[in-house]
Amino acid sequence: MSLNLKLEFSGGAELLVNKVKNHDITLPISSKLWTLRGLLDWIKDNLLAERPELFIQGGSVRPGILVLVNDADWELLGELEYELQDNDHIVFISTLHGG
Amino acid sequence: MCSIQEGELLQPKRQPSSSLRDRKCMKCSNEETVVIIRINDAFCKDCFLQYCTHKFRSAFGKSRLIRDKEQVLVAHSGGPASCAMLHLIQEGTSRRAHKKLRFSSVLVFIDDGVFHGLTLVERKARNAQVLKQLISSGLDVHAYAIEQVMSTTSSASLGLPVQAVSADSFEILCSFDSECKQLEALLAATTSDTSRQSLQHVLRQRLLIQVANGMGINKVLLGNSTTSLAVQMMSNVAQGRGAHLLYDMSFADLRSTSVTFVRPMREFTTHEIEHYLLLNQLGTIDVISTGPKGLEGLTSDFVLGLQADFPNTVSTIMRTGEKIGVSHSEIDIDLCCSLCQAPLDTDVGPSSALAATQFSEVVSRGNRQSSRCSSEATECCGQGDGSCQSSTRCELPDLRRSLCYGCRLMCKDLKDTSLLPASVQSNALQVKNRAEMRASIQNFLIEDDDAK
Ligand SMILES: [Zn+2]
Ligand SMILES: [Zn+2]
Repeated sequence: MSLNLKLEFSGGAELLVNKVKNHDITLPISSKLWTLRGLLDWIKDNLLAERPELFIQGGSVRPGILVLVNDADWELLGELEYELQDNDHIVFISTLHGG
Repeated sequence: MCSIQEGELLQPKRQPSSSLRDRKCMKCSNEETVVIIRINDAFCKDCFLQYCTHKFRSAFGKSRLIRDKEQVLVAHSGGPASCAMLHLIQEGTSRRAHKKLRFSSVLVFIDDGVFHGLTLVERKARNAQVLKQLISSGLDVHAYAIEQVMSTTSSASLGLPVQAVSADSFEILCSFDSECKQLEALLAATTSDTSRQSLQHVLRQRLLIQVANGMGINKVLLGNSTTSLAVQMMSNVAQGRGAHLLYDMSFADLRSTSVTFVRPMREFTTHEIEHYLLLNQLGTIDVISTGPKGLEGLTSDFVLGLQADFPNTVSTIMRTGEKIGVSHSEIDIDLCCSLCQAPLDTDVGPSSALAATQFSEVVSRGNRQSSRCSSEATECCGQGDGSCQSSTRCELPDLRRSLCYGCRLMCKDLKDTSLLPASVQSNALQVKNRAEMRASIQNFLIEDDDAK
């Protein structure tokens, strides 16, 4: 058993993960449940190429980066405490480019 | 300071997120909420989109700025705010729209690849991508390259036919070789990221004014969001541009006498814009930078950091900016900065902070250079404490004297001001001549007060 997730990075956030927008990942089911907090740590260890502080600050995402879980604001789902479900679609959008 | 009062002024903080779980839409009680806006308001998809269109149209309705059937220029950067603005306009002008927007729009795209250090190949690919999208909107699209701001030809032509681009005619944007080299030299001669960033803002604005003038259009719609305006305001104040706050923040920016900049997106935060795009399944066409640099970048980190904890931050900053600006009617619009084209804020009398700054600049350089401005310095009583006021006007060459305070600071970081666009130099000459003429006829003018 494992947890399949679709990650999407856009708005410039993809520049921090090798310029690849879509990442299909599989997380091993461990004894504890996977939360968004755990996912951020995983992203930091596995996807962020250099300068992780441009994406993660103080244990959460950097202010100005939007997080959506299945198209809804992550605030509606408990932010870092949200328990990931199989086939969740998580989107990170950077809004730090003006525009 | 009294700590109790300070506590009361604190903004409402976002509630712990667990309490937001399973919230119902505040409008229709639908349980499928997708977005949280303002402080704690949960909205479902339909109610959120309605909220956006209403907000967008009421901005135009309230101001009554744009007449029926008037032609306006819509500046499109390819970024998210521009994409959302274009969609809102198209929806608002469509036949089925409830309170219809009644203007007709012309899109203008400025290829600013030089600002981002893109190669010619990268620029062509980007232009093709953005323009294909814009042309598919069905509106007329005009495209310019930012280096055309250096052009010496008259603003009416800018070397490009004033005619909509088609899918295969935009390679011409990469053909301004000599202007391109001039612009690169100008950017390279700017020694700080902060000044380079604000120079880029100023140049972009100049080109938009020139383009609008050339097409005989006097309204330009910009896509500034609440978030970007809040950041800009804080960093502009820090860079000595406080006198122009009103222009930078307002819905209708009257700085230029010929063109009014309109900011219909100013009530939207970047958060709302991204949700609007997602829910309409619209992508952003183009994003190349990872964010502002220099002082603006630091300000952005600061403001967004606050915004994460206090969701009212950006709108509070914007509302505050509106209130502390100098009203347009109190400003002498006869003399404008020859770079950013906002009214000059430097004619402020002998006992102002500006005069004091200039005076201390002169004094701290010592007397060694005083021979250079002997015509005025000879009249100085030599006290060195500013009491004679004669020294405040020396040492300012004509170009600097025709600039607003913010642009003067910016030009300090520019190694060679002769690299500035030719049109700036000729503006500076105009400002100088006008000021001289005004001074020479001063005694013959009948002041309004006398006439009464
Ligand atoms: Zn609703
Ligand atoms: Zn200026």
